[in-house]
Amino acid sequence: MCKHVGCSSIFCILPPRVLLNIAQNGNEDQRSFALQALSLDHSLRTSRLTFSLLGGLQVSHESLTAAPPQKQRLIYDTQQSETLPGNLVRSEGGAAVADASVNQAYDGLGFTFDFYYAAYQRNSIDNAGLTLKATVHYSKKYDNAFWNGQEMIFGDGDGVIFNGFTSSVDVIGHELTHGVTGSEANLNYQGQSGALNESISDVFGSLVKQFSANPKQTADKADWLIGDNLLAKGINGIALRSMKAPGTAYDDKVLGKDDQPADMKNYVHTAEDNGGVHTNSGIPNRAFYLVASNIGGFAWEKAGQIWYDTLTDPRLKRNADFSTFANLTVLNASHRYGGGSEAKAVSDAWNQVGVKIKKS
Amino acid sequence: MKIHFVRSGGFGGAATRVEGDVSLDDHGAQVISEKAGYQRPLAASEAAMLRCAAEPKPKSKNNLPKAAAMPDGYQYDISTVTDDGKVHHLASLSDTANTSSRTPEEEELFKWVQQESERIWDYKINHR
Repeated sequence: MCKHVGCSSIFCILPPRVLLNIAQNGNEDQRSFALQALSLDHSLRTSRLTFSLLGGLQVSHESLTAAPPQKQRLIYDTQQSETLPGNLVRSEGGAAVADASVNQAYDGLGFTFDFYYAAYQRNSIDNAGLTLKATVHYSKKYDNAFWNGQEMIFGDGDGVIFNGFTSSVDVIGHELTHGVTGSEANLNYQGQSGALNESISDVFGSLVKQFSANPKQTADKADWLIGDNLLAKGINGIALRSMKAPGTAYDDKVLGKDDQPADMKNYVHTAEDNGGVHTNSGIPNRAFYLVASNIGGFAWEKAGQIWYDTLTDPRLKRNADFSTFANLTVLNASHRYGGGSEAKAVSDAWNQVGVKIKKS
Repeated sequence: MKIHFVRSGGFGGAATRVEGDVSLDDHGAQVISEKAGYQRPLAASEAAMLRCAAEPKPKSKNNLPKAAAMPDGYQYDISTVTDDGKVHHLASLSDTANTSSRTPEEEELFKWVQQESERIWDYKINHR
């Protein structure tokens, strides 16, 4: 790691988290040396920070030299039209308004920002303090939420099958995480790379929910459900997806049956849904649940850290498949925690879901 | 001639899937979704637009770069069955902020399929 002249040895043996703290809080000399040491660590390459989902937004990585990050949230209302972004109805620091959806979106963005910063020292979606934008009341009775490359958009739900899509904090975390993925590995939204993209959003969406719960939830206390507040009363289902038991979340005469597989032998080959990205995400979802349950404690601390290290690993390419991703999670687990129980938990999990670990 | 369309994807994945069939023949034009129990006769202008859009085109017609799909946006797959029984994949169109990736014909077809899918979904959930 210390290949450059002028790197003080103490800064070369300190772990990255300590170096980050020094870079943010030390005196001028200390910050300079810490930044130099960090620049030698591959993890700083997360600062490539390119949104290429829809033509890109390149932002320089300034968070290490800036003051502690402040979240900036803007909530818009399209009033059931589809003209984005809509009217600005609440901005950072503004008081709660009468509209519950606006407040839910505002709070959910805040929880997600706080989670990423507390857990991984990430300053917003792009790690450079990007303003978080969300639009609520999109279209009429719209049963969906999505990320358009620049902001999150939430429908109200129809009220019969679905409640409003701001009602579940994991949905908000899921959508924001698409932005994080876009600024990091930018996994192609197709086939296995797309299913990984989806799974990563479910993973961190669930972790946001666990982190923002009061009290915070350990892996064994978490429900590992995605969108459990979305389904209206009378629907035969507990959520839209279950990371713990893919394929069991719902079985309803309108929704049909949850089609997620829990392992590779049930992988679904389809051209629909960009190659089944919302279906086959069940496989890496379960792998993460198994890792988190095996390690125990708060899932964002070790399991989530391994997944975050992998998402921000420059070796994770846009067209990565499950096997390649699995290999990187094992490598990152070993890199951060040594070749002990954490790395074993990761490789065991992938074995259980039938994903072969592809050695690079 | 028949047109078959499927809406897939979205945050809910398979839960919000919709499919429908348009039949265009000498007796008239209608759209049906058997799974939803939905049926609607088409206006003459709709039928004309769909007949034109459904004609198999040379693959080089659209040289525009394909826009990336929006995460959790919907995908619409459209195919036709011509009178000789052959199935032709017409288009796979995704919700995308970059509509310049579609020709005007594709955009018109996309909007129709998008709106009809919403009508079928609305009917399905209100007649459960």
